[in-house]
Amino acid sequence: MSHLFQLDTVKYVCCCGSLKPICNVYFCRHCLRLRCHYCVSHEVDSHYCGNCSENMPSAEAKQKRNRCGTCYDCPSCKQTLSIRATTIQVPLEDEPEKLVAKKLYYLACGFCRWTSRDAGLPDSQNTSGPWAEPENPLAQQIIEISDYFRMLAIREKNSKDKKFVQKSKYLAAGRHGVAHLLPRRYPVSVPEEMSKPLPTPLYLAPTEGMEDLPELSDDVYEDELIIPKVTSLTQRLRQLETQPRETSKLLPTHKQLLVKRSLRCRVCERNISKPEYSPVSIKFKIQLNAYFHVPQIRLMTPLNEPLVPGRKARIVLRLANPTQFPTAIRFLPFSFVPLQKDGSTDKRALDAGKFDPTRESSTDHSLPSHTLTPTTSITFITPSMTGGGTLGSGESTQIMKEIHVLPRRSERFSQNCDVIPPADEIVLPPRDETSDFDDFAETPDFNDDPKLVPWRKANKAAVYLDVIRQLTDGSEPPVLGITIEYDYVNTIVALESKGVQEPQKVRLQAHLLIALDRIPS
Amino acid sequence: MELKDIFYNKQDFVETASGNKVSRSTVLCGSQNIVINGKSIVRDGVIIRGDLASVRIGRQCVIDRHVTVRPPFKKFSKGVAFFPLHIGDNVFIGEGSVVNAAVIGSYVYIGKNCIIGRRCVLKDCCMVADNTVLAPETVVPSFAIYSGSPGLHTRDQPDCTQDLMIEFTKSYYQHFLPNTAPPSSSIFSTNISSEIASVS
Amino acid sequence: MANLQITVGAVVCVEAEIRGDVRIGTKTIVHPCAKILATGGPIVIGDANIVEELATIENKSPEPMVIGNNNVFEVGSLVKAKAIGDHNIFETKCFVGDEISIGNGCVFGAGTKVTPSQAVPDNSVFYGQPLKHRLAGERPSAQTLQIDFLSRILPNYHNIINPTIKREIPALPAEKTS
Repeated sequence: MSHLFQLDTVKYVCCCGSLKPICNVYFCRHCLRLRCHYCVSHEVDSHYCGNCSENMPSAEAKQKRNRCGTCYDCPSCKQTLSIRATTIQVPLEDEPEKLVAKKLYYLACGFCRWTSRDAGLPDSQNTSGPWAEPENPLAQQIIEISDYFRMLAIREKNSKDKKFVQKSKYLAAGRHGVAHLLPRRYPVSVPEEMSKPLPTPLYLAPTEGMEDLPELSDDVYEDELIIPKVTSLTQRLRQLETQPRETSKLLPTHKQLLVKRSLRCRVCERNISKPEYSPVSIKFKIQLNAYFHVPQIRLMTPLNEPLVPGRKARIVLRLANPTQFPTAIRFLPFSFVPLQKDGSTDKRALDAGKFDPTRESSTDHSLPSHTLTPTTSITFITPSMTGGGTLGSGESTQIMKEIHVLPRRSERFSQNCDVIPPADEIVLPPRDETSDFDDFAETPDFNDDPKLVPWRKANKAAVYLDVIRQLTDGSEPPVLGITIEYDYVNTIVALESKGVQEPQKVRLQAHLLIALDRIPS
Repeated sequence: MELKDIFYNKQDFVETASGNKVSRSTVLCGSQNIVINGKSIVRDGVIIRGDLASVRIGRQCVIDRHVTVRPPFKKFSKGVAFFPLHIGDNVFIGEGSVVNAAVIGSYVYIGKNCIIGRRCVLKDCCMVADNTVLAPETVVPSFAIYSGSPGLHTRDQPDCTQDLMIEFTKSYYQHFLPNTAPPSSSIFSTNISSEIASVS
Repeated sequence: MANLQITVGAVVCVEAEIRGDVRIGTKTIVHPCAKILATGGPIVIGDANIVEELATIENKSPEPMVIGNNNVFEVGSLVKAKAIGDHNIFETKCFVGDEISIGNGCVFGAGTKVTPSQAVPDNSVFYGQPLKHRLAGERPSAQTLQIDFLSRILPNYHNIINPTIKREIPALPAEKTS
C-alpha cells in the first residue's frame, strides 16, 4: 500500500531503530511511543480458510495441521481446485436396461488444467467425496519412534521430580506446612514398569553397510526423459509424505489456513491491534495504527535538480492532522538516538536547545513529576547517573524495560541533509469528517506567513522547508532527517484515572527520514 | 507524493448528475444493465459488457484506461448463465486489466495489466499487484496481496488500508480536472514547482 | 470488409473490426471490438468458435490462415499462428507467434507468450510466468452451451452482420438456423 502515495518516501523511525512508512507503524497510547511490527508481540486470534472463509477453532486447526478440511490446492500450480461435475449414463440397479443420468464429481484446476483424473483418482459421487490423501510409507515408523522418545522424556521428568520431592521432605508438614501451597505434584511412587529399560524400536538400530552394491541399470542413460512427466522440486516438496518423481503421482493437498492476529505492545502489554473475529469483516475492535494518531508528513514535490553537498534547496511538505484535537507542529533538527543496551549516553543527546523545559510544563496538565516526554532523546540516561533528578521514576522503568524487551535492530540510516527549522509552529485544526461533504466550509484563518504555509485545507497544510546538504560525500542520494514535535491529547489516561476529567495533553516527538530524490510515479 | 493532476478534454467526457465522469470512448454494451453509483471515473478505452449480465459499480471507483470489465459465466446443467458482476466502493482498477470476476469487494486496489480470472471473488481491502494473473475461482481474502502468475498470496496489507483507499480514490477524483479549469483550482500541480524553481 | 463471407448461423457483431478476406463458419460468435485482420492473406475460420472482444487474429503472410472448429479466443489474445486445429483455447492476453501450427486441444494460459520453434503437441497446456508446459489428460470441453446463449442474446444488444453464405447445415435434431 505504500506505493499509493509513495508513502515509503517518508520513513518514521520506530523506537527500536527500524524505518517504516507511516502505515506500517503502530502507536502505543500508554507508552506514547511508535512501535513497528518487531516491537509488538503477535498473537493468533483465529484460524480461517482463505477460500471458504470458515472459522476453525484452534484445537481443530492443530489437529488438522493448519489445513482446511474441504478446500484443496492444485499440486501442479498451488491454485485452489474447483469441483466440476460430469454426468454419465448408469444402468439402474433394478432395471439394468434403463440408463439413468448420474452426476460424478472431480477436482480440476482452472490455471494449469490439472484434474484429479490425471492422478488416477476415480470420480466421486458426492461433492465432498473423499479424495485420496498422500500416505506416508514411513508413518508407522515415525509413530513408534516418537512414542519411544515420549516415554523416555516422561521417565526423565519423573526421575527429576523424585529428587526434588525427597529434598523438601521436611516442608511437607501437613496442613500448616508450606507443601500444601506448592502446586500439586503427581504421585511420587513410580510404578515398577517405569524402572525397566524401554525396548528400543527396530528403526533406531544402527545401519549396516553392504558389501555388494547393485550396478546402475543402463535405463538411466538410455530412456528418453519426458520433461512434462517429471515433477519440479517445488511440486515434489509440497507433498512431503511421498515426494513423487512423476507428475502422475501428484495428489491434491489441503489448503493452508490463514490467521487473524492481534498485536500487543511488548513493553506495556496492552493491545495495539485487535481485528474482529469474523474472517470476512475488515473492521477492528482496537486499531492503533500510527496513521490515525501521528501527524502525517508527505513530500509534495521532489527536488528540481540534484542537491550538491553544501547547497541549499527548498522543499514542500504536506502535513495532515489525523486526530480529533488540534495540534501544533514544530520542526527540529534530527535528534534520534538509538537505544543503548549498556545504558551509556550519547553526548549529542544532552544538547540543549532541542528541548525547552518551560514550554513543557505549560502545556502539561497531569503528573507533576513528569517533566519530560518519553520520546525526548535526553531520557536515554540511566537512573544511576542522574539520581532521578530530571526523570520521573515511571519513565526510567519504561526506558529500562524497553532496552531489555525490544529487539535491537541494526538498521543503518544515513542522513545527509539537515533542515533549517522555521521559527514558528504550525497549528493544524482537528480532522473533521464532514468537511469533504461541506462545499462551503471555510478553512479558519491562522494568519500564516505565506512564505511558510502557502496552502491550507481543513486539517492539512503545506509547508516550505529549507534544507541544506551536509558537506559529506555526494554520491549517496539525499536523505533528510527531521524531528517533529507535536501535541497529542491522550484520551485513554483520562478514562483510567477517575479523578482527572480533562484529557492529558502531551508534547511528543517523532523522527523522520525523507528521501528527497524520489520521483512521483 | 501527492497525486498529479490529470487533465481531460471536456468534450471527451460525460459528467452525470451523480458525479460520474465517463469517457465517450468507452464501449458500454447494454448500458441499461450497467449501474455506476456516484463520483466514479471511467477513463477512455474501457469496455464494460452489460449485455451479458448486469454490472454494478460502487461509489468513488476509478477504472483506468483500457480496462475490460466482463461478467463471468457459469455452466449449469440446463445451460449457461452469465453472473451479475458487483464491484464495491472505492475500488481502483489499473490500466489494461481484464476483470472477469464475480464479486469485487470495497477498498480493493487492482494493479496494471492484471488478469482476474472467471468467477473470482475479491474480498474487501485486498490488493492485486501489477501484472498478476489470478486463476479462475480464486478467492482473495481480506487484506491479502496477491501477485505473480499464478497469483499467490505473497504479502499482507496494512490495517489502515480502508482509509488509505478512501483517501486515494477521493484524491484521484479531485485531481481529475477538465482542461478548461483555471490553474488556481488545481491545487499544487504546476504552481508549486515553478515557485520552488524561482526560489532555490 | 473487402471479402467477408459469413455462413448462416454465425453471429458477427457490427462493431467487430474485420479486414481483408475472411470466411467465417457457422455457429461462430464474434464479439464487438474483436479484430480479425487478414492484411497479408486470407483467414478461414471454422465452426463454433468464439472470438471475444479485443482478441486479434492476424495474418500478415500471403499464405491463408486456417482455423478449425470449437476454438475460443478470449479477451485481448493476439494470435498469429499459420494453422490452428480444433478445441484450442487461447486465454486472456496470450500471445502466439507466427511460424507455428497448432494442433488440437491446446490451452494457452492467460498472459503467456508462446513462440515455439518446434511443433506444439496435442493437448499441451502453457501456463504461468515463467512459462511452464504440461500435457493435459484430455482436451478442453466444447463451449456449445455458451455459444447457444450468446447467439440468443447478442442480437438483442448489437447489430449483426447479415450472413452471406446460405450453406446447408448438417441436420441436427431440432436445430434451427438463426
